Amino acid sequence: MIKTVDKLAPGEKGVVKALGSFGAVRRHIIDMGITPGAVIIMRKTAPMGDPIEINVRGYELSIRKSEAQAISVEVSK
Amino acid sequence: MSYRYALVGNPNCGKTTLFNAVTGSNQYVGNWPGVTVEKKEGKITHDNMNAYIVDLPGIYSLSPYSSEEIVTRNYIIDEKPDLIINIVDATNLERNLYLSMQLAELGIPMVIALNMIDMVEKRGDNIDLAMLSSMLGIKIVPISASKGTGIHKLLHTAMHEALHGDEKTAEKHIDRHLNMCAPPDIYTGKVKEAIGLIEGIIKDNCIKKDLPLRWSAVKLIDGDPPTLESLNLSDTQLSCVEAIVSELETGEIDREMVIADQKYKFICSVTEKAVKRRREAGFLTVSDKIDRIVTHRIFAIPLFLILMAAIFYITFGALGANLTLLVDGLINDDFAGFVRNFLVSKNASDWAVGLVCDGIIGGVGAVLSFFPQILLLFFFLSILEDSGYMSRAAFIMDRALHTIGLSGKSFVPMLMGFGCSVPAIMATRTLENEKDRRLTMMLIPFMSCSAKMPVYSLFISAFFPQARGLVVISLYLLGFVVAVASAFILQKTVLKGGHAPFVMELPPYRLPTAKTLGRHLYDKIKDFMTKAGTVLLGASIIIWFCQYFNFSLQHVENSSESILGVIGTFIAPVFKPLGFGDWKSSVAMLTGLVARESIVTTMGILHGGEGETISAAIASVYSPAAAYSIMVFALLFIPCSAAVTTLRKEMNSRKWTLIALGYQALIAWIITFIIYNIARVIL
Repeated sequence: MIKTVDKLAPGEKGVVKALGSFGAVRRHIIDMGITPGAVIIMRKTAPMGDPIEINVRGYELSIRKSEAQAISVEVSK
Repeated sequence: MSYRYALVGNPNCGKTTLFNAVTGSNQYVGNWPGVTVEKKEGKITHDNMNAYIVDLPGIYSLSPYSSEEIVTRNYIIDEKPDLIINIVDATNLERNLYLSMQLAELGIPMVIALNMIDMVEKRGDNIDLAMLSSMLGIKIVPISASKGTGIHKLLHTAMHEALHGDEKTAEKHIDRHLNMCAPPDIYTGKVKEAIGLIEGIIKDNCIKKDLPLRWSAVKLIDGDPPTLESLNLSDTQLSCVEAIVSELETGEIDREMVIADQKYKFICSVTEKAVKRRREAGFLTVSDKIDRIVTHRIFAIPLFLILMAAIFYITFGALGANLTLLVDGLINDDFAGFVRNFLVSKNASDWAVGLVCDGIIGGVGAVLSFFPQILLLFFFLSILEDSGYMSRAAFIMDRALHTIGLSGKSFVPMLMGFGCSVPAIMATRTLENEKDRRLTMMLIPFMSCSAKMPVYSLFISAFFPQARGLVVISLYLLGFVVAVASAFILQKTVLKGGHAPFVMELPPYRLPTAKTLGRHLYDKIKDFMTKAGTVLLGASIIIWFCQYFNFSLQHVENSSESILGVIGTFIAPVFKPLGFGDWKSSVAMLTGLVARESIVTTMGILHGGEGETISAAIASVYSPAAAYSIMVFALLFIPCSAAVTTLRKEMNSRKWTLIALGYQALIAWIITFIIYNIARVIL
C-alpha cells in the first residue's frame, strides 16, 4: 500500500518510492538519505502537531508535515 | 615543507573533539577575513614533520545548500589541501559515507577517521574494516576522538598518504585532479556510461579551470549551478550534456536524485557486506527511550519549562546568590580594605588610593563578584548543548516558531543567547536561509545574556530584595516576548519571505564528559578574565579618571563638573522620559555599550567610594520605577561591542547591521518608556 510519510502511524515502516516537488529543501532531503529504497520508520509527532520525527538510514531526522506529504512510501503489511 | 590537512565531516560527528585532540596545546585559532563562516587552523607535529590542520564546518553534503557547505566546498576546490581527513561517525555509517563518497570525487588524497568505533562495539555490531576500506578504496583508521585512541595511527597514515600523493604527482608529471586519486567505482549501468561520456566532453574545461573531473561531471548531472558557471561550457557542450542527462531520468528518479540514489545504493551494498549488525535497523536505543519522554506529546513542553525554571532557579536562587555574596565579600571588603590600608600606610596620595580602590577594585570587583553566577549559567547551558537536548528543544518548539516566520532551528541560538550573544549569533550559521539568519541575529540580543545579570543583581538587591525571583523572571520573559514580537513585526515588514524550512537531525543523547564541560568552562573563565583585565579594567580607569578630573585636567570636588559629568548631563535628556535622567546613569548606559557589566562598574565608581555599598548608595538616588526602567533599558538596548562586531561580521552587510542596531535602540527606548510609565503607577 502506498502512503505519504505524514500519514504513517508511530512505529509504522515504509520503503521510499518517490519524492514529489517541494522547493529548495528537496536537495537537502535527498542528501539526508531519503532516496528510493530507503526505509523510513515513523517515530512521533511533536507536541504541537508538527514537525514529525522519523528514522531513516539508522538515524533520527525531523521534518515538517508539509515535506513529509511529498514523500510516498510503500507500506508492507 | 609542511602539509595542509582539511578536516571534514558531518555535524556532530566529533570533529572538534578530534581537532582538539590532534592539535592539543599547540592549538592556535585563526580567523580568515572575508568569509562569513569561520575556519579554525591548528598546527600538529608528528614524526618530526609539521602539518597544519584546518577544521571546516560540519556538513552533510557538498551541495550548495547552506553557507557552511559552500565554505567547505570552496575551501577544498580553491585551496586544494594536501589531504582530506574525513571523520566518519561509525554509529551512523550510511549517511556519513554519503559525504565521504562526494569528497572522494574531489581528487584529493583522503583518509577516513572512523570515529566512535567503541560505541559500535558496545552496541554489539561489528565492522570489517579491511573489507570496508578495500571496497571504498580509501584508507580507514578507527579512532575514538573523545578517548584519544587511534590518533597516533591516524596522523601516521595521514602523513603517509600525503607523502605518497606527492611522490605520485612528481613521478608521473600528471595533473593531480584528473588522474592522481582515482575516484571509487560507485556508479553502475546507464549512469556510469553517462558519466564517462560527460567526462569526455568537459575534460578540457576541467584542465583549463583546474577542476576535478569526476566531481564536475557528477555535479553537472545534479544540475549544480556553481559548477555550471565555473566550467564555462560552450553551447554545443551544454546541449550534449543536457541530452545525456535527460536520458537518465526515469519515472521515479529525476535528475536531482540520480547521483544521490547511486551513491546511497553503493554505500548500502558496501555496508551490507562489511557491517554485521546485531539488531535490525530502527531498534530503540537508550537515546530513543529517553526521547519517548523528553519529546512526548504531553510531557515535552512542561518538561522544557521545568528544566529552564530549574536552571534559572539554581543560578539566581540560593546557590548563585550566596556564591556572589561570598566573592563580593572577598573582593570588595577583604581585598579592597587590605589594599586601602596598605596604600594609606605607605602614604600614597589621595588620588592613587582613589584610583586603585574606588576605580580599579570598585569597578572591576563589582563585576567580578558575579562571575560564579555567570559560570553557573554557562555550566547548565553547556550541558544542554553537549547532551543533545538543544535539538529536541528545536523539535518541540518548531511549530510555535513557524507561526512567527522562524523555524525551530532558530530556537537553539536564541537559548544560547541566555549565555552570550556572541556564540549565539555565530550559531545562526546552521540556518539555511539568509532571511532567517538575519532575523534570528536581530532577535538574539533581546535574549537576556549573562553579562546583564550583574546589572539586575545590583538593582534588585538595592530596590526589590523581597521580590528577587519575580523581577528576574519578569526581565527574562520581557526579553523573550520582545524577541518573539520583533520576529513577527520584522518578518511582516523588512524581512519578508517564504517560510523557513525545517530539516534537522536529532543526534543521539550523549552524556557530557567532564573533559568537554571543563573545556567550555575554562574557555569562559579565560574569556571573562581577559575581559575583566582589559575592557573592564580599562573602562574603570577611564571612568574613574573622567569623573575625577574636568576638561582642564583639574580635580573636581563635585563630580558633576567632571568630564564625565558634562558628557552625562549632555545626553541625559534622552533618558529623562525613561525615569533616569541623571548624568550618572546616562553615562552608565553608554559604557554598557562597551560591555554590559560596565554599567555596574560605572555605577560602582560613580556612586560608591564613600564607605557604603553601591546598593545602599543607589537606593537613595533612584525611585523603584526608575530602577526597573534602568534594568529594562539595559536588557533591550543595543548589545555590547563584542556582540555588535560579531553581528556586523555575520550579517556581512553594513546596511543590515545598521537596521538591526537602529531597531534595537528604538525598541529599547519605546518599551522602556511604556514600562516606566506603568511602573510609576504600580510601584
